[in-house]
Amino acid sequence: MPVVVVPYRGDSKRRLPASLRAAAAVAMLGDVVAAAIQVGSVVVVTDDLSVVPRGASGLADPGEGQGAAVAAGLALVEGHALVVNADLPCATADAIRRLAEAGLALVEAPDGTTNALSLPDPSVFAPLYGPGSAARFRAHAPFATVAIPELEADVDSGEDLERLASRLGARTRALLAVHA
Amino acid sequence: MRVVLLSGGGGGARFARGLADVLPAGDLTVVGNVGDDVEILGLHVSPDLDSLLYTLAGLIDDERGWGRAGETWSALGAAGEWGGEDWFRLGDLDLGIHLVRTQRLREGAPLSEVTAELAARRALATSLLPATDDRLRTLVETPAGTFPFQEWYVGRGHRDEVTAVSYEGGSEAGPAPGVLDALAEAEAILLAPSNPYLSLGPIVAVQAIRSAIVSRRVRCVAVSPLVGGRSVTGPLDRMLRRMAGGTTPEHVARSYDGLIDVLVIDEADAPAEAPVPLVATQTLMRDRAAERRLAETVLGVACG
Repeated sequence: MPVVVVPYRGDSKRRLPASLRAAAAVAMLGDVVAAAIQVGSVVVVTDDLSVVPRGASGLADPGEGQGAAVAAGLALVEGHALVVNADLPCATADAIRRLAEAGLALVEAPDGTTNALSLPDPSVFAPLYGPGSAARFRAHAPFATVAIPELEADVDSGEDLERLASRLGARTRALLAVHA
Repeated sequence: MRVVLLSGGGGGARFARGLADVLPAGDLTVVGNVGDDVEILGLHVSPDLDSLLYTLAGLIDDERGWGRAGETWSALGAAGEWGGEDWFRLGDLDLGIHLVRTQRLREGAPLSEVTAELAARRALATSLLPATDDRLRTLVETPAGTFPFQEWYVGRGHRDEVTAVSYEGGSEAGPAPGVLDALAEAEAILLAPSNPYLSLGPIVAVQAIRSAIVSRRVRCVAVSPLVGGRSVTGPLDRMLRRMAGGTTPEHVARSYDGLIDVLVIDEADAPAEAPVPLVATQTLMRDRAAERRLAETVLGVACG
């Protein structure tokens, strides 16, 4: 069974409407973890240890960016690791399973950043996040790019949430229903 | 930030010291276990309250993990020579606190009042409360019979497997004055990395304390006393295997069923799944800095 590492920063969603920013970030994390725990153990690496969802193990974010956060999570893993970002509220267990079955693989966001990684050997990981990171991961190691729509749909803005409404996980959808 | 810690001695006391170091003076209340209190040579000994007091006051022998630094055992040796019981290691310096406590209890003062008087002599910024002023004793059931805690732990070197633990007087015991107020005013409730059966079990055997925690409105966070599925000291890993079926974070969390919102575990035990969220960090308190780091992490878990 793979271990799923989910990096989460409470302050990362500045483009979401202020009224639901914090709650939406936690709800999306909850949806990602709910899907991931059906696939394997889950490590949430976070700057806010008070939001770790049930079923997961939280780990303090060393505070040196997403790459360092993921590396800290991977340090707990022996064997196959997956890295799934916390802003993927459409993630399902089946989608994460497909990622795991793809071997050394990544899911690219529409803007060229990296939403998820499959690392049969976690030591292959390098902290390459940021603009254009998917291409940098591919240059670093023979990552396959897998098309998994549920993991491609990342959420940065309120418009993203509206566009994805019907595909959102239960927690994020419930939050939006309350705010509508 | 007002915090209540439920604790035994040993690792719990070190965690209490870490919290006392990082919290503003006066914000920490420690509720200590009295289930392993024992009468030795006519003296009332409260080993966990003493460990907490010695640790918070800077008197503890950090290397040995119990008793006072610079301790000697001449009086106990002499008592043994005269035929007195000498299986429980009362040190010469240690005797002072037992003499004073016993005298005050004989004068009719409740244990909570005596404990406050002792803490005041060291000007502790932490409130130290016994769980109860009533008689509450941990009994350990083993294949060789049922023993009071200290008789099994020290007297028999905790070699017998434990099949069950009970708390004599637990159902009748009331909370010591101040305990329920502290819990009601707390912004976080913490369970120290102490033995769930032997150190924290006797505290929550006091029904009013258990009820106050079960109906809490703030977070309650426990720190697992296991590292890599093993006890740092003491027999907890053996007890958990026998009584709970294993030593994973899930087994530890289940021993606190209904009482906690989060379990803090060592990184060596992560990742894992449990009925409550887990937070992994380095829980081994090798030095004062490690105690403070753990305290800060746990406060972050409790309060965000």
